[in-house]
Amino acid sequence: MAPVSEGASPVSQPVPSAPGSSDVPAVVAVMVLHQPEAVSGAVAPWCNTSLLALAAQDYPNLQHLVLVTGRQDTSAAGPITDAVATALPTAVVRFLGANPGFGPACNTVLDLVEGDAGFFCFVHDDVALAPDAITRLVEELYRTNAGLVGPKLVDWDEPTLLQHVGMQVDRLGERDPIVDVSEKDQEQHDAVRDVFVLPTACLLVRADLFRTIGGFESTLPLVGDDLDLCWRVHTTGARVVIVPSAVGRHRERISERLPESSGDQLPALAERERINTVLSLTSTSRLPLVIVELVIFTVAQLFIGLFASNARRSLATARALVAAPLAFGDIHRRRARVKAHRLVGDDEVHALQARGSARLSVWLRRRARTTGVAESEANKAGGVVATSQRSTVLLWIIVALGTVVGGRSLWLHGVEDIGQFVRFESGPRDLLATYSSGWWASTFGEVAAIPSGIALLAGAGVMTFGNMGLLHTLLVLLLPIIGYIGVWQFASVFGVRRARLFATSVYAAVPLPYAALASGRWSGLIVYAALPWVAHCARIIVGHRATSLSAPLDARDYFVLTSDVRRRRTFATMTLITAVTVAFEPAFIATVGIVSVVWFIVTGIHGAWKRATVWMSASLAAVMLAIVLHLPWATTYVQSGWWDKLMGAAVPGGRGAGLASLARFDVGDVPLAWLSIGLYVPVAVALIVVRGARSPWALRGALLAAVALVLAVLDDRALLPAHAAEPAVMLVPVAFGMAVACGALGASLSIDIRRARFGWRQPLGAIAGVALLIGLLPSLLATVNGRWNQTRTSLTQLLGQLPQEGDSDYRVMFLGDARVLPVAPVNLGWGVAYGVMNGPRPVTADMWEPYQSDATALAEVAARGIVRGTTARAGRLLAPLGVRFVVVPIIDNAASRRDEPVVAPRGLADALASQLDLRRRFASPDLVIYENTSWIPVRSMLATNSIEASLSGGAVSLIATDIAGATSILHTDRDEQGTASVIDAGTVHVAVPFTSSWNLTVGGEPVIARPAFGVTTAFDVPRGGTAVLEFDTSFARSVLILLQFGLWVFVFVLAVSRPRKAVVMQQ
Amino acid sequence: MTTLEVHSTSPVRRFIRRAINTALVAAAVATLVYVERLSPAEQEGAQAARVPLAAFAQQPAPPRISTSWFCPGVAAGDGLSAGRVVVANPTDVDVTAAVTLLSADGQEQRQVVVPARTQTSVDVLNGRTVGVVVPIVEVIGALASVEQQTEFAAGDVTASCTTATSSSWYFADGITLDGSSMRIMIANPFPETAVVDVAFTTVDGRRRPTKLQGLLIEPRSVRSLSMPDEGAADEQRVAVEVKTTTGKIVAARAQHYLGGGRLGYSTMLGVPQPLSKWWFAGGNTGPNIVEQLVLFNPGEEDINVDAVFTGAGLSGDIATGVAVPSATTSVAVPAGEVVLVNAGNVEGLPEGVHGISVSTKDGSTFVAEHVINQRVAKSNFTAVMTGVPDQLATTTWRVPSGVTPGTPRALTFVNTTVFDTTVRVSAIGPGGEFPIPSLQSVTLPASGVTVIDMPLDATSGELIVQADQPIVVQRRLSRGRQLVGFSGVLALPQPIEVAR
Repeated sequence: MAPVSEGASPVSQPVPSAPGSSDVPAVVAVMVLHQPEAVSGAVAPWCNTSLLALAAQDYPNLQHLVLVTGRQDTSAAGPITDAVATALPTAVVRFLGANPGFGPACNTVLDLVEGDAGFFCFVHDDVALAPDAITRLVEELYRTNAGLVGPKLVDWDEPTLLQHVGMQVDRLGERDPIVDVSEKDQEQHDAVRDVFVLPTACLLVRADLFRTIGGFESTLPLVGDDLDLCWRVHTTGARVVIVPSAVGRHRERISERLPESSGDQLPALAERERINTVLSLTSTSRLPLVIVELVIFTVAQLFIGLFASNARRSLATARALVAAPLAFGDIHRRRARVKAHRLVGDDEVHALQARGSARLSVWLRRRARTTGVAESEANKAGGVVATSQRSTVLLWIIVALGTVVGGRSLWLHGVEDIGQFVRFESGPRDLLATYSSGWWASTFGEVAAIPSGIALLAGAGVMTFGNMGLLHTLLVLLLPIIGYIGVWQFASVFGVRRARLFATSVYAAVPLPYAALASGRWSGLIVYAALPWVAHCARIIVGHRATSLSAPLDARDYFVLTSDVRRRRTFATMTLITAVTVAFEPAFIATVGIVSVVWFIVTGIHGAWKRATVWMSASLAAVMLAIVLHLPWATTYVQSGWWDKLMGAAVPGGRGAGLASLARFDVGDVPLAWLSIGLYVPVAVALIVVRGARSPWALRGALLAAVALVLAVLDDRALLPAHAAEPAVMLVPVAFGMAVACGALGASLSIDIRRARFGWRQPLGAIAGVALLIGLLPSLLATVNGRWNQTRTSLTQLLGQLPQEGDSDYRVMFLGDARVLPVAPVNLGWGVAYGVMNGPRPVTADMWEPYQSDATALAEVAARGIVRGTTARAGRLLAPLGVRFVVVPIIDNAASRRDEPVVAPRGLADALASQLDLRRRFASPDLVIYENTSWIPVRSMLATNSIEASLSGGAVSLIATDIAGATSILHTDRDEQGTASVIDAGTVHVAVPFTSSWNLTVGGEPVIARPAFGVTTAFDVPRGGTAVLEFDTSFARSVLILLQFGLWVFVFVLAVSRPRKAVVMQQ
Repeated sequence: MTTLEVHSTSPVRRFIRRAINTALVAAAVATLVYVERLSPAEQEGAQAARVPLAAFAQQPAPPRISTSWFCPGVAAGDGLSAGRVVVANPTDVDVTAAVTLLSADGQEQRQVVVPARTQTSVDVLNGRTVGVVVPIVEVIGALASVEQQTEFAAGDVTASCTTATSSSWYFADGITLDGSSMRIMIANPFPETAVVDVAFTTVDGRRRPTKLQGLLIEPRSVRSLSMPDEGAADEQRVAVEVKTTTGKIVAARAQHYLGGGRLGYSTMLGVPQPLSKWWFAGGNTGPNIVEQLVLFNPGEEDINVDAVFTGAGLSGDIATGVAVPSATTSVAVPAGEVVLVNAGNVEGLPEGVHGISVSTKDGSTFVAEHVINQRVAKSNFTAVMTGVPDQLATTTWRVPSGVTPGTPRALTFVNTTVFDTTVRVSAIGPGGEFPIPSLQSVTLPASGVTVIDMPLDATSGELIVQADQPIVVQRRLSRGRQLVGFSGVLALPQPIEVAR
């Protein structure tokens, strides 16, 4: 290699050749010495050490080049020059004027050094190489014919701790650092091997190769330069090899050397550079697949991250992915650059990358290590039987397989829209528009606060990039597994893995989620997913400590002092989960109430009344705050009928399912569900067997299960003063209580029974195990048909007979048993409920309880008139509300099946047959459809004979006049969007409760709204013209939405914020 | 993290805690067992609101949103000179009524406002000279009531209307001898087609002509069947059954008697279902009077019907609560046949007015009508009445179109119990409901019959009859046109209100 060129740029002195160096290739050791501007005086001690280590190298043909990231004319320059001159008298020192970053600084050698015969060794100023390091690197480079090699890096202060032996990288640029944090060096990584990435702390690279690929990427000054360089080296076919015989100590504390603001941005920057590098260096043929994978993994990480501990990184990843198109020009340039020297196909590069997800591998490994350490400590203290991690992996593999296999058909083809699984027909934008409009089009429409769930769905829709079908499938099929994970988290209170296995297995074994999947009870699934998480949060707030360390006879609770920060964060998380769940199932509050009350009692009985009150206060506070988060929607509950809105419509006289049916969670079709009764055996055994600090938990679980089941049974017989939510919701605490009790049993089997002499407890434990296995069978069988036994024929499909497009400006009233109505039911009494949907099929909005208005009051009058036989003209009463069809659902193949039907209310068919305006249009064992011959379209031009009737209200105007004959106008599928068409003079009728928020202009002239039929809205149009009908959103509404959004963001930030950790980068 | 021990524990405390918790779980389990043993409540559904015998003419119980009154209909082509519906509004506010006229051509509708405490007549023929018109009157609320009146050369007729439709209708009596006309009018007020099977029974037995099976009655239209033209010409007895296989209908009979010893005209709704016990209030025996009970057994089993005559000279046993009549008769009615019981042949039955109950001991059901043929001077007349179901014998009756003041023997009361009672009659006048002074304590002995004259100080407005015991009330109406005799029509029973 030729000496440093004099003319290339001003250097202080040329790099001299070492004496006797002619028989070995030249190596130019390049150290980038970073000295912040603010720092003056002596150089950092580690720099001196690094310089001395470089000077001590035994390689015979070594030249030194020190690149200083600063100006020569500053006060800091003198000490640096002195330090270099002292340690490396022969070194060439070059001041770069500023700090361009490590890579760009190193790139100056391309100009400073001529010739391609030697090597460049790039070294950080905080790396102290062993004296033979460069010699070893050169030897190994020759031996393995590598292009780039690097040493084993160990901790600066504790050289027995490994820091880096290279990294594996998956196809998405995620790193697997091979060594764990604080892993001892036991020569376990001392084999020379190929790696995908070497940290830039010390790299030895062939000079010709470095020149060929153009050096470091100049746009990566801080992070990601190592991945980019190594990946481009791979594209040339050169090997990247770790040489463990060469050792360097690395201080690696970049965050200390950066401004605070830069340190904070490092994770986001790293994610951005990772994604840009992947997009730049992946070949064109593979790029589309990689982009899809990036999107899927990012969305998945975001979902998981929000509930796990790395929300910040997940958000950074999502932001980076979204921002990637903005870097198109840079990516394009980098792709052109790598294309110029790419010598091997991308398949070969891909083969060098790690399979699967490196992030997942790292997470699992660290998780296992953490658990192993915890159990090891527990083992020492209590002689706990450490369940192997293989059991954990096996459990989750089974759970994952069950989730995939049990719903394989649903994953592929989507979830049937049975029961509450109504498909999301609107995309995120439409949902947001609905939410912000202030017009709730459900039922008969109302100017009201829109349910927060609509906004949440819109947000979720954004995460699936507007694919609402995918969102629908995910929000149904993933809920059970979220519940399992929640129980797994909760069971950490037992401190032993076997307890977590038991608890999770039992929670997964109860047929409840599968029955809910079969019968379309989304509310049940949501509560199933959320309750363990809320209980887990509450448990942390209360301060329950792991029970594994207690003595077997010490039947009491232990608590820990949780830090304020953690309590606040956990409480925010609890509030957030509660709020999200309540947005879709308000009855969740009841289940949280049951858990907190029961556990308050048990904790109190165990003497910790003060702590017990925290169970109540934390739950109450979370619920109250959740309600605040739902303002202004929450105000809709402040009205009569609020209990029905909270709990859903009652079934007067009770549902009559019976204890046996409820005890086996039979809310849907699960084969051999009766076998799940076996799951109660371990609960009972837990009560008898469990000792120590596990004992209160066994009691908590058992009592929770028993009390919740009692409540469900009492409600089933209508013996409660006020009705409870549907069984799919009320049975969730039963399942959770069983899981907790069984978790306690699992802990006891590991701790108490193992150490005890053989007695009556061991056989009981064996019996519990057998019963548990038997109880698992129904859930396993439920996976067989691949659909969770969901029907292929839904009620919505049968409703396909209703006129669809073009003629669908009508409403449908469902009348029948509340359990089979495909929309949110309103109880009429006598076992009959009604519900209303707009158009021929139910939509998401129809799942929320309708708001009370004059229109709903009139509809109820009409429906009661039918049921009680107090009028034969209910059709005319419903006519101005746009109700064209009255449907009696009988078999929905969800709550009501052919083999187990929910019989239609007695006498209802006869009552409907007595109506003079209802024509039976379709009748089958599944449903009966009546058409209202007096109906008028939702937006219509009234017939002449009915205009006068519209001026007055009440039964006189409605019954004494047949208002049929109105013509449909101004049709739109979405109310709040507004609509326009040309109309004649006459009376425009809009079948919504009277409001002045709807504005009609004809030919540009506003038309004043007036009440019609005492209920609805009409406009008397004096002259024809182009009519525009639109809804006027109030300013106050917009302000309230912004306030609400701000509140949610505040709580979210509180929930996901973590104590700032030192950012450790391999710079 | 600091671990806190929150309390000390001792074996005794531990035991107590465990016992309390276990007791709580045990209590929950015990509650489960207890609740499971309770019988589940049965849901009412819409069945609970079902009005018993709704298709029989009766005043519906309030509250109601609206009441639809289905009247028998008028056959314009048979020589009617007028037909109308009378809407009586006893309330203190005006009532709007919608009158829908169903005919073979479809329907037409008009609105009328019935001022408070008045009656309003609405012409249903509207100039029509042919075809059958069936009026349906929608009134808001439950208190207004509706009757149908027709003017015919052979006598004016007032007929009750009903507030419900039915899938079956029965007519026990009928005659087509000597040119007598008999018309069955079937109205379908619903918006879907009704499918009807018609059968009739003559002395030769039951017949189901093919052309009368599967008759399609178009939505909101009327179909009229002239029985002589349908194969029942020159028959001494014609009982008719009208049943639907799809839908519900209203069926009525218009009968012009010209032979077989009968003379006159009647229009009335059929009987919507056979029952096991019927009451009749207008029994009368004497010279020149032929009183007949027409018993029709539409079932498939032979039955025995007991006819019990009550009234003057007859008594009941209060102690046992069972009437002990002195005049009874029993008759076998073969399946699908019509049997006549001539009251004049009943042993021990004194001359004069009486009430009649006909029933079966075993609960078998049948249909009964009551026919009186009376010769007056050189003429005669025929009055036909359907029975009152035993369940509709009640304490309150209404007479919507009222009775002309001064009409003799205007109302007949039959006490259906073995307890003495008193009857009070009120009327709706311009000032509202007022008691008719002379009719405030009309004695009605146990199982007795009382006939009253309408005093001159009464009004022609709606009458309200109230008693302490369940009774049956029948009106006697003039045939008009200087014709001799009378026609009869039942008052409207108002069943004891059912809370809705």
